[in-house]
Amino acid sequence: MAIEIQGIERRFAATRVLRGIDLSIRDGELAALLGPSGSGKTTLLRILAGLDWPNAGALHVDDANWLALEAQRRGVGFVFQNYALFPHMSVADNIAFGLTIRPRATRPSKSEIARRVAELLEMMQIPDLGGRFPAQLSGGQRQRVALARALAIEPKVLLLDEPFGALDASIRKDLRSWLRQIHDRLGTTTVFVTHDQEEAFELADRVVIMSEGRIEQVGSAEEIHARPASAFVARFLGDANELPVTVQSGRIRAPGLDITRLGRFAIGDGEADLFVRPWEITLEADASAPARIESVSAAGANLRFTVDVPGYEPPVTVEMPRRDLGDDAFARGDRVRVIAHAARLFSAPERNAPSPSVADVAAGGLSAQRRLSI
Amino acid sequence: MIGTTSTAPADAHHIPRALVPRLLIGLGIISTALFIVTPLAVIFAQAFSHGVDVYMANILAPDTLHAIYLTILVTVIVVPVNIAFGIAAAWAITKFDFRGKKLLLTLIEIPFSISPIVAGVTYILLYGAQGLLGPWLIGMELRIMFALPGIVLVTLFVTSPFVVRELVPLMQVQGSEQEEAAVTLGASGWQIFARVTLPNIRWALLYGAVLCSARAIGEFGAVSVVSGNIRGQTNTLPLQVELLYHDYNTVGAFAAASTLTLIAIIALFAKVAIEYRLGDQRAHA
Repeated sequence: MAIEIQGIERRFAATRVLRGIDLSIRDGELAALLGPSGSGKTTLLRILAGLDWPNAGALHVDDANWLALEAQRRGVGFVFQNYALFPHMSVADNIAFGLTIRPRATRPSKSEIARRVAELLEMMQIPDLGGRFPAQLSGGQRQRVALARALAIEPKVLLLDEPFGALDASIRKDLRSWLRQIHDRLGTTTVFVTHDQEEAFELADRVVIMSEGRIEQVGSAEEIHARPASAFVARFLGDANELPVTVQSGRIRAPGLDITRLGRFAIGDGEADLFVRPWEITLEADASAPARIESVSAAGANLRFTVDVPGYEPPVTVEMPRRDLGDDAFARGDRVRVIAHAARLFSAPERNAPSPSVADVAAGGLSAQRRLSI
Repeated sequence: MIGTTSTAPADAHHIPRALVPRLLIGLGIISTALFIVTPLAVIFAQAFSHGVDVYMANILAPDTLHAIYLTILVTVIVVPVNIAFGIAAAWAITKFDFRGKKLLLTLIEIPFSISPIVAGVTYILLYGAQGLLGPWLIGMELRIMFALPGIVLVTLFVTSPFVVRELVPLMQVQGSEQEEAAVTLGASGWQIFARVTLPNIRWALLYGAVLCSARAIGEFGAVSVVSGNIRGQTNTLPLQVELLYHDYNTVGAFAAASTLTLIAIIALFAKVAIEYRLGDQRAHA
């Protein structure tokens, strides 16, 4: 089932939780909605399920208008973060729920339901737990039951809200690859929400990065890492030096850094942020350079340096392959030239515009002074 | 115990410290005996003071029997109404957001803060012969005050918070996720209620119903205002006890009181048993 989302907006009172979401999810795709808390990812997932309704926009699934369809009739499998299992029902009854509530005409026979439940328990690798109650299960087992219950109705679309959020790190990794297998076997279109980028990039075909109710970027793990679309994405991916620079007629001014190997950037004049990953920088000994090595540490096959470059805070992190460097190539205190080989540049509008908050503070201070003089 | 106290630095004080809990527990036992057990014993001692035959004769006196019947009738009407409206109100308050939600909650709690006598008088002012609706009711030949409808109405008023008050906190803790899960699985509104919501609240509901029944059976103040104290017609059991006592029929009064006490004790045990199950359920939630 291909999902087509157009201009979806959602407000809660004065808060704009979704500010115009356009997104296509392909049939059989496994997509991740990734973002910090408050980015609107769960709200979007709930709108897909029919548990929430947008203030504006359109939602079509295989050309059917889903905004005109109640949640009951969408045939969506939804797995809640805290599983939302029915505590008074056995595991088997939980799984069978979506089938036993069907009107008689479409309800499978009792033996057929029992067969389906057994099959799902087998698929979830918990064949012996059918008679237990949710309270008697571990977190990982509850997760499997919740997924089995969602899959029992043979959903066209499978939605998961932070599916591994409540689990231990070790169980999480296991369940991740197992969920991928299930998705591949069933061929459902699957969308899951997470704030864990490792999880999103490892599991999903495509990752949708969201921030403050907007989509920042959509792409595969490689695409997003190679070409982050915004400063937010570059920052969110983490592990990059964020260097404040100024741009003048297409050229970067970054005193203290060697940026001669970077190409030109199509970006307007003004303040900008240069994102350089630690392994995109090399160091060269230069006694006249202003930068100085602050620390050296081993990081597997690499050596990791922190370099104090005057004018940049915090210190710049650099990683260079150990075998490219001789023993004791650099030591703490050495003066070095910091050479950037690749980087991404984003203008920094918040620093270009005069900050209103500062002006407010100044005005406030003035009136306070006036009051004092009276 | 000895091991831990002997290693404590304030070793010399461990005897007075042990004395304090004993003293407090002793005080608790004495006051319970004095203020609860003794009166209970007195009720039954007085009721049976002239033997079982006199006791039975008093219980089976037509007026007392009618009072028992009336009390049960009122309870049987009031409790189901309270259950139905209690569930509806709790459902609305916990599962939906709407304007005036706080106001509704406050409104539901009002009977707890109003004296039952005041409630009774208010109903007289509304439905009595000289009341606001009095002339219209007389015109329609409807008798509400000094009759069963009046007693039922004031009892409903006094007992209305019990079920809601038990359900709201539990349903707030449970949230709506299970209902939402049921919705995505294709359940209709009624199926969600019957198969997901109701099983989750059944013990709290029963608990509220027991409290509600106990109050409905025992209510005196509000009912005494609107019942009119017509012997064998509008006297409920608590009113009958008072009446018999004013008639200097001590045995009769205490015999009637003993049935009330018995009902109260049964309700108490039911309450404790349900509390036990409820605690169990909350631990699993």
